[in-house]
Amino acid sequence: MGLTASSVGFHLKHNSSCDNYDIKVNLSGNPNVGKSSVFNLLTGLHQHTGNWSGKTVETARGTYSFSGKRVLVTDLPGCYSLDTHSSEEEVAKRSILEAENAVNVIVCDAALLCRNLNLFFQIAARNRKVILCVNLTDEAAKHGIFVDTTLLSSRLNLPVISTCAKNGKGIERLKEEIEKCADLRITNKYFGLDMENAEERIHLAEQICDGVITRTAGKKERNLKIDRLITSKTFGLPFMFLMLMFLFWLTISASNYPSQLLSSLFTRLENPFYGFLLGIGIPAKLCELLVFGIYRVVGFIVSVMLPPMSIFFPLFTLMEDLGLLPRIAFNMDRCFKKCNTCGKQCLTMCMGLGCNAAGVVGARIIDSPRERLIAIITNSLVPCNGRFPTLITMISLFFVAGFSGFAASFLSACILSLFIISSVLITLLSSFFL
Amino acid sequence: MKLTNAALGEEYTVCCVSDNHDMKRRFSDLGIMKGETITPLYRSPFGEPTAYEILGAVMALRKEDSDSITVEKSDKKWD
Repeated sequence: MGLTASSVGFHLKHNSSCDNYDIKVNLSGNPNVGKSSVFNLLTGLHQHTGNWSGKTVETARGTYSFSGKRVLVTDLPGCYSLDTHSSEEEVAKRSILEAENAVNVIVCDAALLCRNLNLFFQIAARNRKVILCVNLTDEAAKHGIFVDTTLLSSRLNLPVISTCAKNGKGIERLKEEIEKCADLRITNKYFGLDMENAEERIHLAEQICDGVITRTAGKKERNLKIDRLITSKTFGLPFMFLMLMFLFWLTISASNYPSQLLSSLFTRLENPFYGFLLGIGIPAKLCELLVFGIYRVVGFIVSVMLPPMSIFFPLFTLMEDLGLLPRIAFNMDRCFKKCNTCGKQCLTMCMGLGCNAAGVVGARIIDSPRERLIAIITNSLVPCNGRFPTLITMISLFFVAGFSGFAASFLSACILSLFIISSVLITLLSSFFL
Repeated sequence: MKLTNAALGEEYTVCCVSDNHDMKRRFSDLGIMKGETITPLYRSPFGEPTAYEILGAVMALRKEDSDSITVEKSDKKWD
């Protein structure tokens, strides 16, 4: 989830050895169009992907080989234009302008082609070698939007590749085009043109998109209805609470069974283990220490901690992929505004629910140093996945001791959710005074 | 009228964006510029921010930002 060696590839910041590659590729595009997914497919790395804007702040590098050539791929943070505003856009701009000989792959969301071309024109005006990659074609098709890439390609006079990062469609073609583009001494037809005026760019984009995009009735109406419901005055806040409670209830009730299984397994192995240790000649006192001390305690901890953690975390990731985090941030923004903090802090706070470490790392997306520091300090106030099992144990010991079955798990989920709500309130309160 | 006061679900055309240079530039990057269509979609339970559809994408603007955008109700799309 955070910045691990496997997620950013070899050396994140060392640019010195970049000269040893035959082809250099810059992946750029608007936020949340799936650049990191394309990057992962090209390089086989596992950069964290997420369904919210501004997830990548640092650039990530990776390599692959294609027909004997070594290719260096740089995944740039998403930006809307090259007129920079925030730190991640500054990073992207510098990389795009510095790399003169690189192949620029501009990743677009098929559903938002017209808007994404805005950035494309700016990059094409400053770099000779560009390839347009129309991503998320499957998602767009679900919304009834289809892009005619052949027509688009002939209008732009450029290679246009449609990809679907979910099943890897189009990636091989992208690799071929990158190689071809790097070899040829070609210049795209927008190179050197004046593309500074945003209004002109959008008009040009609209002209080009006309006829390229076909729309049929899709799921847009239904999605809008869902969004209206979960952000409405009456249902918005109760929905968030119920969602949280449902997650906890699922975690608590589903972890009971594997917990018992693990615990009885560890207990059953206790005596054979003790016998085995005695058998190989270890003194009885030491055996007792090892088996009834260390082994038993470790067994308890594993059987209590492991099941809730391994159930909650995948559920939380699923919520993240469904795009729930931005909706929660949308609903809660006013509270954070009142506390004079950045609206993005809500995102890092929610990330902290999954893992505080990931939440703190995620605070990179906040621009102002003061607001970033507040987000980092207050992040640990929301308990994370690793602390839930302890909380659940405490709750079942002290609050729901007299209940059993459904009532017990339901009540525990209620109390845990209230606990989380209070921790959110404390986060807001301390943010206000920081 | 101010974008803040626009009714949800109706289509509007952007007339002008106030002259605060930084914000104007930011808005034009996002596609909010004279002549473009903008549709308020839904509002947060606390009254702001409001989500708008601009050029096919949904974005949320806080009140002070939507205050600086003037719109008029549109019957058909501008050319």
